[in-house]
Amino acid sequence: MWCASVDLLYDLGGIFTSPKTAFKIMVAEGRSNAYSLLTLSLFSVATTISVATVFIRGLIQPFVGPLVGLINYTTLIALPILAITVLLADIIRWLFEGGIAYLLVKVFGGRASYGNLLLVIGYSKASRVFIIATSLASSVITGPAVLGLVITGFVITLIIEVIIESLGISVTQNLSVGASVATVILTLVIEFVVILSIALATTSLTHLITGWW
Amino acid sequence: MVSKELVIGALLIAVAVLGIALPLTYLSVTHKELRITSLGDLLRLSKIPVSILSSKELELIYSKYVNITKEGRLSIKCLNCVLVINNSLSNALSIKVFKSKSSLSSWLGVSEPKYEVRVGSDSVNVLVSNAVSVIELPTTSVHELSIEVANGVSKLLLSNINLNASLTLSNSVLKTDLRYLSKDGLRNQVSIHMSNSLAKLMIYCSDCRIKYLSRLANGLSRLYVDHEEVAKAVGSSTYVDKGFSESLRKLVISIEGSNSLAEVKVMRGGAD
Repeated sequence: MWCASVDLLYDLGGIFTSPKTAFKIMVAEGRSNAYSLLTLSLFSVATTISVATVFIRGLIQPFVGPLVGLINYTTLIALPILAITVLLADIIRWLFEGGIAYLLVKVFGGRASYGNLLLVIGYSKASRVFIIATSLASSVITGPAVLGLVITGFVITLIIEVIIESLGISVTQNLSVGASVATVILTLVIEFVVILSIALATTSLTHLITGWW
Repeated sequence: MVSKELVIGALLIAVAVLGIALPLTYLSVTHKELRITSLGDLLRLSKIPVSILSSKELELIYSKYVNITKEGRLSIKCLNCVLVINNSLSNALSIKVFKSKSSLSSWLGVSEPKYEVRVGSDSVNVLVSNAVSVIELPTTSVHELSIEVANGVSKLLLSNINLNASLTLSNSVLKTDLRYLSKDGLRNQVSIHMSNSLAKLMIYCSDCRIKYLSRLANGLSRLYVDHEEVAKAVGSSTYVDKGFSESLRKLVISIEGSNSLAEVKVMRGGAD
């Protein structure tokens, strides 16, 4: 257990300091995907709770009296439910993203190991630490700067995530960095299009069934 | 030697754990409607450097009507008003009073409460009875104080122990703003803004360094430099205490506008 924890810390530190080496070590040591799932889960829950709290804080600000208590009690019940829902969605996305990346790696002529792709994608979610940090930092400021800080966190996270995933895929799938970057970006685009299509289809179906728009 | 990977990995985990723990703590403690039942609770949560005079009535009021958030917002609810005492600034209190009789009455679940709130002997005293008849704020620690009253305040009493000054306004005070600047300095100032219908203004002072500035919204009509001019303007010297000390002659009173100014009364306050 202790060794596993130390391995996880080394892995997380490694992907931020020297990602290529870190992923090489993980592949060589046959790192279990339980580690990437654990990383994904921890950062997913932390991101949901910290970002949601920023918005709740903004919502509460104008109120005094019983409304504040009511909002808080409601939030305390709703927040864990929201975090679990987002976590489940993130796990589904993780598996789905791995599948798309697997097909693209095959197209680009890489090694195409689904397990290693899940490992890379799962660990890359540690980049959400920037969203969490900016959300926590926003608690000491007020006004529009809060939103600006959180958006900055999102942008940094996206950039770091793409970098880590690209380097990880390059190492684990034996692809050039260019092909790896293309894989990551195309994966994100395809994922976005699919999610948007599902959302639109769901809305249309709801409209057809209930007549609600 | 610990490697940098290990340190960075530990930091990442720590930030993630804080990202879960801190927001949940914030929501469960900070913004919860707190029930203040003791002096310790109030001091710890409100950051108001005062003590509470303990009484059963007071405890009842605090346990039922006081809501304090970490930001230092203290709200005291009453039948005819909501007092929001915001001490987010280190040496400042701002108080807003909004009258909303019917909604607040039902909100509080009481028909005609009469109670008194005291937050320390040297800070805020609020006595609220049926129709917000008296609001009393004796304080030495408050440097800046603003009070906004929707309407219907029949009597507003403000006093500062250090300054030996008190101010009483009667009838239909629409908006009042008082500022105590530099309590121990040479320039102390009280400014009063009123829309109209000031029926009575009484100023008590024993400190020559205090400057009272009273403005009425309808325009500047006169400026009175000392008590004699005030007496002349009022048209009678009967309101002026003949026993003003030499230092009190330096008292500067300026009054702007007087659409319905009925009475100005300047009196010697406490000890010279």
